[in-house]
Amino acid sequence: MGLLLLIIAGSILATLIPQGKNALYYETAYGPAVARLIVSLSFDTFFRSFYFLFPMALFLLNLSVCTANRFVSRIRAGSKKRFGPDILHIGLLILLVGGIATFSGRREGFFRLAAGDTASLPGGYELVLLSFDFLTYEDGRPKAWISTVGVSKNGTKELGEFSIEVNKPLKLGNMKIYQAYYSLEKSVVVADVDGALYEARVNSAIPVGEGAFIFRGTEPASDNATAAVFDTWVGDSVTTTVRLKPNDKLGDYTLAHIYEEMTTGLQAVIDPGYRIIFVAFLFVIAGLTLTYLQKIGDNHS
Amino acid sequence: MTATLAFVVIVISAVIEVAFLLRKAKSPDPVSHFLHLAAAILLFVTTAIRSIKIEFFAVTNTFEALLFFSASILLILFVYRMQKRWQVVPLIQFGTTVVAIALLAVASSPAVPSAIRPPIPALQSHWLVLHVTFAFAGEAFFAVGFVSAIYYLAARDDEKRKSADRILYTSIAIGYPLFTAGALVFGAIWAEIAWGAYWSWDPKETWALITWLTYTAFLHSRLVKRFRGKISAYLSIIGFAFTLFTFLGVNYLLPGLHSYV
Repeated sequence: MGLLLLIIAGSILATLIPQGKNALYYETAYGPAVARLIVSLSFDTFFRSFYFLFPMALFLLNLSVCTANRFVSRIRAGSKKRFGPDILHIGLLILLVGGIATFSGRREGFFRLAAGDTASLPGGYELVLLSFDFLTYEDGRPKAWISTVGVSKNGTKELGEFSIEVNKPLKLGNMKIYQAYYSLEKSVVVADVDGALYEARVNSAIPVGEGAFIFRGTEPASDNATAAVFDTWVGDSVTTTVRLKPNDKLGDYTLAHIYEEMTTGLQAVIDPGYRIIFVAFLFVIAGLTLTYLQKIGDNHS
Repeated sequence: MTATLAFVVIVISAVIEVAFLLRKAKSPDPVSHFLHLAAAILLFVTTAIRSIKIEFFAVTNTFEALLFFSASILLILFVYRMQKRWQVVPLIQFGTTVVAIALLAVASSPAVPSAIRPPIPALQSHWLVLHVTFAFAGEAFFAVGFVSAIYYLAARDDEKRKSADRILYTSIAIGYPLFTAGALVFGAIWAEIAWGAYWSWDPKETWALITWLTYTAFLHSRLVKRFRGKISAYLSIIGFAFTLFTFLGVNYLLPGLHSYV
């Protein structure tokens, strides 16, 4: 009971302090002294800190002992009824085990793809984005984000075409791919002296001699035009920053085209704990239902 | 329109209940529970009409959730009243009616937009429907428990206290499994499907857990420690305060993944 109240109090405190921000955020929000206290006591990552994990470990121990004790005493007494709370408590224990499995083994990664881009994923999977559709309602609010991908395994075996939407992740072995976000990506096309075309996205480089031109993005220019911004790198330092419009010269290159394309943001997740959690949920629901039905039975008799 | 009509019906019910309470009549009034049922039906009809318009079960924003919450409370009051075994005390019935009126009043506030809008992609899940409906059904029982707890603390007569304590316990004993299934289990399954993580320590999730732990402490204190009386009543009041904060307070004060709700 006291442990429950301690966990409740700690959790309340943690929701009052925004979690996972950087030190500067806390300094701006609370001043240097309080910020130092928050960071040094790990209150910025409370749910991964000793102050939360230790009471939770005690709770796990307490629950284990109580569940075993209750279960054994019921068996010894030969009682056939009231196993609902036992099943519920076992469910909660499995839930905590699943939480530990997630805490220690969960892996996730985000990646952005434009149509035609590929991504190599764990397990030998390769994913190519065939199309990305952003559907809206009449009032302009988002209705659906649909990434259609082709999937192959180990570079040879084609697994087929699949769509990934919010609430409809793609399952590949023990990994799930989620529709996470989307963005409008700025890109440029430059032509060399022979007329060969090269494409560059934001922060990608166009090699030239000992250095490179890095495309940094776009800015509004005069005459309602758009200018592409390039840093010129020589060795390991920026020498100049230039703003160019289509047909302007960039060293030996000519800026041919500035354009935007829609990219999809996908999230790959491997969570060894979720299956355990799901089993735990089944136990919890079964335990609660059984407890309730037994209680109704008691009242009727 | 139907929601406004429901509001009028509940207010009429409350007036009748007050009239009977002031008369100190021995038997409860014969109509208020039917008015509760009528208002609940009107609110469910409102939900149905909105659902048809958005082609999805209309529990996807605060306004719709408030209507469902209020309708659930009224339906529970009707069912309690129809029970021969656990007749609800008239003053507890009146207090719970006031809670339902207050929730509808919040729904009519300009801070709670009532525009009928189809759900954004994250909300387009049947798990969301289970999450919201089960959680609010559980919370509706907690509302009855909350009013019973206040009545318990205010009552001076032992018989009245015993009656209030019985309603307090039964309402939370029924609400707890519903809330567990809805707020935690179905919510976590939906989160895993929508966001790739069944638990993110988002403020709303954390406060739902805090609420659940409070009611767990309530049940544990009664069933294991054999606590009765004031401790139970205070835990029930704190639990319902946390329930309301989880639902409304977090939305406006602690933004997170659930900010659109």
